[in-house]
Formats: sequence, structure tokens, C-alpha cells
Amino acid sequence: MEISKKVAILGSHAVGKTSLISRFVEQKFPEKYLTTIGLKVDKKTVKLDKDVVDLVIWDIAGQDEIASIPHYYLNGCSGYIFVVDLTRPSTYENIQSQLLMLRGILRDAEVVIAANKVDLIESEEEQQEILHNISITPDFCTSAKTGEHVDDIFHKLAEKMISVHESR
Amino acid sequence: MLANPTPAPHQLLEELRQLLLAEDREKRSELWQRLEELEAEVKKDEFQEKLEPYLEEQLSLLQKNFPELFGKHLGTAIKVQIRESQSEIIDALYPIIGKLIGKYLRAEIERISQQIDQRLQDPFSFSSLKLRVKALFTGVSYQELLLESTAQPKIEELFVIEAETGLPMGHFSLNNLSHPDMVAGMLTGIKHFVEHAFEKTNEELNTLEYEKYKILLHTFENFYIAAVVEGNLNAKFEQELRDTIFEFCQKHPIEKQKAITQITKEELSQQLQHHFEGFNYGDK
Repeated sequence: MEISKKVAILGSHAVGKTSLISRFVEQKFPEKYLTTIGLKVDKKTVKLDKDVVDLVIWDIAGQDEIASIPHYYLNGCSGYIFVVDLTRPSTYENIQSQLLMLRGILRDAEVVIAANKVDLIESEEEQQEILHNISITPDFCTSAKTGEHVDDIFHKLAEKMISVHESR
Repeated sequence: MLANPTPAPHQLLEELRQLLLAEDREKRSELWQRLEELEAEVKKDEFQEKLEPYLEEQLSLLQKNFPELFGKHLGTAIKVQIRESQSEIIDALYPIIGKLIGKYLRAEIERISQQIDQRLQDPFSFSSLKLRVKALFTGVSYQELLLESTAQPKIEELFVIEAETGLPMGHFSLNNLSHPDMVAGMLTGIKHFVEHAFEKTNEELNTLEYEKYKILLHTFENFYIAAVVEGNLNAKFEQELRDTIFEFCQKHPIEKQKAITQITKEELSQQLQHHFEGFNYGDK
């Protein structure tokens, strides 16, 4: 079955949401930081074992407060990727309350958590220490720059969405 | 009568010097002049050599900061120049602008002639026969009607888009648009943004304009239809298009889908194509 799904990529500003999409869709890492204004929509097809999922990815401008995200952009999302920046504690300090708020808005949507910019962490010990301070364990530590685990976050989200779709 | 007095000894000595040294003195004066010239030259070279690195540095700084340093003054100077020497400016720009306009006109004429050729190549098509009958009854020549028909607005793209998700449920394209999902998503984002930005309830975005294209949006409860129209969209065409959209929705009721799959998309896209492919070129 080939199925289309709307997914959103969310998180504070400058955590690397657009870069993760660029890496996933175009296999490119934009060296220059350009803030996303409003919204950008991209698409990529993910092939799973049995199904094919057309992910229509809504890259919504970063907001430090979930309440500030225009809710009309989130309508109809089947899943979302929540991105934090491993080098900036302010992006994951309130992760629990932020995800709780998102669950209230996106009741039936699946979520995958990405801890991005792992390439900037110098040692495994430092990485473990940072992860220990994040109250919810991220699904993957990613790097849009090197491509580490970038495809995995989208594949995992596609799998979760298909599994829910088939069980309904 | 007095005899000539004998010249004084110093006068005699001077005369003798003149006779013996005049040539030497002249040469010395020339040499002195040449020496002064050479001295000046040497000094100038040294000066230039010492100054050169500073000059180069200043020159590169000037090149780098030229827009900041002189941009404002240049802008003012250009404005004054344009205001005060309009005819000269026009004379200077005319060849460039003329070429651009010419290029645009050639492209447009080529496009129209291609459309006419296409119609002439198939003189027995339904649309050509219809134009001939119209020419017969109205008295307007077939050529004029043919030319008029090429200037008609036409649907380039047609989308049925799920209102909530912005996913395309079906799509009909004259140009094989490569990213219908992204276009449908962005259209939905813009639609939602505009409808919420002005905090008006029950107000809907109906039209978007982009150069020679107009995008007509027709909103239903769970979906909306977006038609991308090229050309001079007049009220008659718009009304006919909106009526045809209604007709389509009555004939093919579009219900809220559990999931948008390739199968549902293809089915709806085919229905759209059958219903709208004859809409363009006055075939309505």
C-alpha cells in the first residue's frame, strides 16, 4: 500500500529542524544558517518492508513556546519529530511539559524525539552526561551535518504511523 | 686728442677667462641641470616605492567599502542625473530595454503561433469544427475566432486538497507538475495563514495571484479545490469554472477519507481529468 501522511518537525529555534529535513530529502547540509519564516513543505517517500509512505513534511518556524506555534499548521498531522539541541540545555529543559502540551493538540499523532548536533559533542562521556539531564530519553542522537541517524528518525516515524494505521 | 686708455688688469683677466672657459662653463651648466633632473627622478621613485604598500592597502579598503562610503552619494547622484537628463538616460537605456521587450514579444508571438499551428494541424477536431460553425453564424472570421481562442484563460493545474492535512486527494495537470504534494501543502499553509491572520470567522481565501497565473480556491467542508489559471481571467470564465467545479462535486461526491492512498488519488485524478480536460479553449 502506498499512503500519504502529513508530518511536522517541531522544536525551539535553531535546533536544526530545517537542516535535518535538507539532509533527509536532499542529502545536503546547509552550511549557512537561514531562519525559517513561517512554513516550508517538503516531501520524501519512505519504503518500509510492506508499505510505501509518502511523507509530506511541514517544517514550521521554530518557537521556544509550544503555545506560540500556529495550531492550524498542525491540523491533521499523523506524526511529528520533536528536535532538541544537545549543546543548548534551554531546548530540552522543559521537554516533558512541551510534549504534554503537544499531545493535547495532536491527540492521535505519533512522535519521535531527536537529539541533534551530536557531532558537536566531544566525547561519549559528555554525550551520556547530557542525555542523563534530558528527562525523556531521545529516540536517536542525530547530526544533520554528518547524516548520523537522520534517515532513522523518519523511518521510525513512518513505521509507527503505519502500525497505528493498520491497527485501526 | 687723448689716446685710448689701457684696460685695467682685472678687465683683461675677465676677457681672458671668457675666451678660455666659455665652453666649459656652458657644459658645466648643462651637467648641473641634468644632475638636478636625475636627483628629482631618484627622489620620486623612492617616494613612490615607500608609498606603494599604503596605496595598495587603501585601494583595497576603498574597493571593499565602496558601497558604504559612496553608495548613498552615488544613489543621489544617479537620481539627480536621471531627473535632469531624462532624454540622455532614455537614449542610453533604450537599446537594452528595447532588446528585452523584443525578446519578450518574440516569445509571446511564438507561443501564440504554436497554439494556432496546433489548432490548424487538426482542422477536424471538435473545437475547430465548433469555431467554424460559430464563424458561419456570427459572421466573424474563423481566423479572428482562432486568434481570440488562443488568448483565452486556461486551467493549468487542478487540485482537490484535503482541508485539514493539505494532502492532495487528486490532481490534474497540463504540465506534469513534479511536486503536487508540496504545492498542495504550501497552498494550504498560505490559506490557513491568511484565514487566521485577520481573525475573521467564516471568511475564506478565494483567489491568489502570481504574475500571469491566478489560483482560484473553492472551499467545501472537508476539502477545497484549487484551480491554477493562466491568462486573462474574466468574470464569465471564473463563473463557468466555479459552476463546473460544483457540477463535478455533485457527480463525484468527495467524502472524508480514512487515508489518502495512491489508489484513491489515481481514481479521483482520473475523474478530474475526464471532467475538466475539455474545459479549456472554449470547449465548454
